[in-house]
Formats: sequence, structure tokens, C-alpha cells
Amino acid sequence: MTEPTNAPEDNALRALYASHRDEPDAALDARILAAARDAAAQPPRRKWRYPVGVGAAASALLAVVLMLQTPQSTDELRPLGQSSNEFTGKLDAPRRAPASAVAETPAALPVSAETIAEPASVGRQAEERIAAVVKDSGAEDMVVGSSVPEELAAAAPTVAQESRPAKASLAKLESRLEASVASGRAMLTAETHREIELAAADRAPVSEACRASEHVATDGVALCIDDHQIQVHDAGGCDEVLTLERTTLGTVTLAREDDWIVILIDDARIWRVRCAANAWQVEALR
Amino acid sequence: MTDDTMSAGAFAIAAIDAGGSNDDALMVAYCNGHAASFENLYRRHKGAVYRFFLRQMPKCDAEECHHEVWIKVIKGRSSYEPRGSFVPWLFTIAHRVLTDRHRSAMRRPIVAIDNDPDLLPSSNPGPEDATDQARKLNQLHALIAELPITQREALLLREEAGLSLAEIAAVTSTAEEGVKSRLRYAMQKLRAGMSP
Repeated sequence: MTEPTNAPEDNALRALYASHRDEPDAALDARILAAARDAAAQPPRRKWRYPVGVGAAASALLAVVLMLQTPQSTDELRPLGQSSNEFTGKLDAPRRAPASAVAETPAALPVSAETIAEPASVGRQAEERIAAVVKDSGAEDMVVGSSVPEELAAAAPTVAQESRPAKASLAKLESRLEASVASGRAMLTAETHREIELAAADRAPVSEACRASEHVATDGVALCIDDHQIQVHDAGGCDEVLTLERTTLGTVTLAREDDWIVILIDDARIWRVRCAANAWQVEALR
Repeated sequence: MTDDTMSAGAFAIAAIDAGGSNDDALMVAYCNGHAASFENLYRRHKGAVYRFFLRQMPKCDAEECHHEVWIKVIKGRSSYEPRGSFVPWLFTIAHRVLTDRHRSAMRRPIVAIDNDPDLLPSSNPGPEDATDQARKLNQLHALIAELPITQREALLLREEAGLSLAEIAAVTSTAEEGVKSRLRYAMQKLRAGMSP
């Protein structure tokens, strides 16, 4: 027997063990050899190692291509701590509002607590986001127009002062929003990939050229929003349609400040545009 | 016979004549359709495989396992890679078959060995043949059958298959030191059992 020590007594055991060798029966041998001959007569099975490898590589490539072509999630573009559900929940508020409550022109909207309570949350959130971005970009003065409408100015101080939650009380913000809604200057927030729910008066077709599913119109200015661009139409001023390109998919937030339209895209870019003397003025604030 | 199979057979025969490690060549020839190469392989290793099982289970079970191993060799020929390790590959299959058999045996009712003549060592000679040599051999087989499973398997892989410690470790998925210990304990028990 084999053992690392290889002692003589182990060799004796090995010899004893090897003295008799059992073998399988001839019938068993015949069965196995017959199976071997049958198998040899058939062509060998194709080896799948290489095709499987090629298939796996092709699958990985396809996955990468699909991943690159898939639009970025809007969650990635939101501020930290703000989930998609949280944001959608706030947007849901105006969707539940009865159409009759907002069917008339914004200026004619009743300024009641029931009408304003939920849109106010949307407007406040959008306004805070814009104000924060504007503040970060150091462009506060540009956003705050020099000629604030009387009704807005009377209701509240400037946006720059009120957009700092630390300094402005909630009551002041709400009162200013009430005034904004009453004057037709309420914030409008649109999200791509979701049907925007605005009042019927605000959903007038922008133009025949606008084929996007989302468009908003307010104060004579209409916006056509799709995944690639935002077209701005000014019915009372510029004949030309202003086109702003979008590089990401996510939330588009709009605000009116005097005759300026402030457009925040995906918390990343912010424009301020207005039509003056039949020409568009565009300022990229960030 | 096609040209391919003829050339594969010629290659196998040349390898055998060279006297080197030709199990690989025989297996490759068989993979290429040369049935005679398998017969050669089978003749070389059938006894080792058969006894590997026979020392660990009744004869009828050993025959079943032996058949199963060779059928797996036949079916798995396309996955065989000739790297000079046919015997370890063969006994890796045998080890798996044995493991499966142990597992299924654990689920079956235990048959008392005294009541089942099939469970007695197969080389048990009759009273008329009971020479001293045969009695000692019978005693040795009985001692091997009584070894713990892992020690017995290591011993048989060493004695029947002629595997090295490293090869036994690879076949049984054990550390080499563990294999060495198992062999040492097995031999101690056999020596103690065979001493007068």
C-alpha cells in the first residue's frame, strides 16, 4: 500500500492488495463498448463554448448600446433629497383641481383659499428652485426686473427678497403667490413625459408647428416643449419663433417676471427671454 | 472509415507505440470517431474504476456506477481537453458518481449488512478456497470497507488510480494536507487491523 512513510509493512499490505484484481463482467464490458461504438459512429456534438462566448459578448454590446440610448432618469437631475414621487405629488395637485375652477382667464380667477391652496404649493416650489438657481448664478439683479407691475409690487416685495426662505415668511410668499395667480403670473411647471395638466385656457394650441404633447400658453406667450427643444412664441410681439435646445430630459419650470420669461431646465440651465421691438432677447443665466 | 478517423487512429497507435502518456491521444482519437481507441482506453482503466467502486459498495451497485462513469466519459468526450490528465479526469467523474450514490443511499432505508449477502466483500472466497492468502486478502478488503468514506476514497484513488496527493486533492476538492492525513490514518487502521 502507498503511504508517505513507505514502511515495509505497508509494502506487504500493498502486495497483498494487488494479489487479487477484480474485473468487471464481460457482459458489462460489452454494454459499455457497444455504447462507445454507437457514439463514435455519430458526429461529435458541436462545442458551444465559442458561440456562447460570442453570444454573451453580443448581448453585452447590445446592453451598452441600449443603455446609452435610454434617456437619463429625471431623478438623477433632481436636487438631493427630492424624490420623483415627492415632486410628482406636488404636481398632482393642479390635476385634481376641477376644470371649472380654472376655466376662465387667469386674471378672472377667484382668489380664494380653495383655488389657490394647491397651485400655490406648485408655484412656491418652482419659484424657490428658480430663485435658488438664480441666486447661485449671481444673476439676481437680472431676474428682478426694474419695472415690477404695480399689482405685484403692491402685493409683495421683489422676488430676490422673497426667494430667500430664511428671510421671507411663509405668509408673505403665499400672499405674493395669490397676487401672482390673480394677475395671471402664476408659475407654470411642466414635466416632459407627463401630460401637463393646466387649465383649459392655458392649453390653447401654440401653433400648427408645435407638435409636442406639452405646450403652455400664458399672457400671450406660448411655449412648445418637447424632448429636444423649447419653442417660445410671442403672439403680441415677435413674429419669429425662439428655439432653445434641451440637452437633458427632465423638468422644465417657467416663470414670468415682468416681460421676461424665466426658463429653468432640469435644474441645470436657466434662460431669461423676452421679446422687445420684434426681436428676441435671450440671456443665459447659467 | 473516413480519412479523418483513419488518421486519428494512426495518431493514437503512434502515440501508444511511443510509450508516452497516450491516454490523451486515445481520447482525442475517440473524439474523432475512432472507436478502437476507446476500447484501448477502457481496457487500461476499467479494472481501476471497477474496483474503486467495488471496495465501497455491493457488487451490483459497483457495476452500475462503473457503467455510469464510462457512459459519462462517452457523452462528455467533446468537452475533454487533452492536457495529459485523463486519469484524474476519469476519476473526477467517478468521484462525482460515488458522491451521488452516497447521497441517494442516505435517502434509502438502511439494510443490515448481515442480512444482505450482496453487501459482503465480493472477493470473499468460499471455505474450500480459504487459503491463508485469501483469508488475509478478505480481511484487508473488510478493513478497507470499514474505513471512513473520505479515508477509503483517498486510499483507493491512490492505490487503484495511482493518483498523486495533489491529484487526489483536486479530484476530491480537498487540501493536499488533508489528503495526506486521510491516507496516514487509513494506513494506520489497516496496519492495526492486519497485525496478528
